[in-house]
Amino acid sequence: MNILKKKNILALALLLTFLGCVSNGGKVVRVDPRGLHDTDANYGAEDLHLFTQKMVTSMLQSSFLNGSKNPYIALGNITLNRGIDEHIDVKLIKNVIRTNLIKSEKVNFIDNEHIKQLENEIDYQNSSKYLDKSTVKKVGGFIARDYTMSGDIHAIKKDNGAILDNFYALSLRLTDVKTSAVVWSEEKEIRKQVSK
Amino acid sequence: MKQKSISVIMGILGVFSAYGCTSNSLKVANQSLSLPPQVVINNVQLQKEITIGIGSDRTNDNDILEAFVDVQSKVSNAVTLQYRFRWFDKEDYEVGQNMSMWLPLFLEPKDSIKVTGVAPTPKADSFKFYLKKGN
Repeated sequence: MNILKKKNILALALLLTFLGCVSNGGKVVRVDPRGLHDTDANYGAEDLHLFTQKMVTSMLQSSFLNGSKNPYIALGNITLNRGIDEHIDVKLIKNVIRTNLIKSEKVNFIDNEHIKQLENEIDYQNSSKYLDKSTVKKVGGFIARDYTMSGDIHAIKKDNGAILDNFYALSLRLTDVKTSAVVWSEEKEIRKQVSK
Repeated sequence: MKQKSISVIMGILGVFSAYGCTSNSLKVANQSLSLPPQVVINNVQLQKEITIGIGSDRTNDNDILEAFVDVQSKVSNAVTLQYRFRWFDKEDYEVGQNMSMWLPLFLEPKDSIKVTGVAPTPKADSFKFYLKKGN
């Protein structure tokens, strides 16, 4: 009888092992990328959307866009404060804001990265002995920025053992290059709590 | 203030979603600007807790369509909701999908709040407003 029981247990163990091997580790579910699907209190895609949506909406409502001529904006720095101990993709925040503002057809953006690359390319074209000079493209007509967009991200984290409390704040501002006046500013705060 | 003479379709609908597990079919109310906006809440539970006020819409100085919706709580406990605006051009094609996301909405007991939506582009000619239970 005991031998029979042991055999059954052994068979069950083997079956479970087999099932564990063939399992793909969970069902994959596609979800709305614009939905709120918090899995923990850390910074995530939802926070990116909340930040960028607030900033774009606020800027589109701003009176500095009232003029008939669409302004030219350059992306400056968004600084992470020293207290942030997790990865926050600042470049992604800037890219999403820029993309949505360009789509609004109310503002234009200066491509700083392109200008830097082009400056290197021009240096190369001027100094290279091997380049066919007849193929060199005439460069010029760059448009100077009207405004610079810059900002800060701050985070405050508290953990009392029972509740994890994460607070994030993004503040952005738009500075007039000519006058250094801040013509627009907005802040978005996000607070998330998780009970342990 | 520049006012566009546009036909605005406004659909306010409740979406049943108990913590995102289920939802019933969506019903959209189409309405022109000249008529009062039609409110369709196809979630019985949400209808007991929430009143949707009369929404209005206009374009601001930037020629951007803005939407306003009053959401009022009828219950004596705090309610967490999520809302979303979706924007459509004159041909009813959705525009600015990247900016159409669910946003949290926190209502104190018996409190009301005015939700504002700003179209992501001047091409937006109409909007729909969605509301569901949050988590």
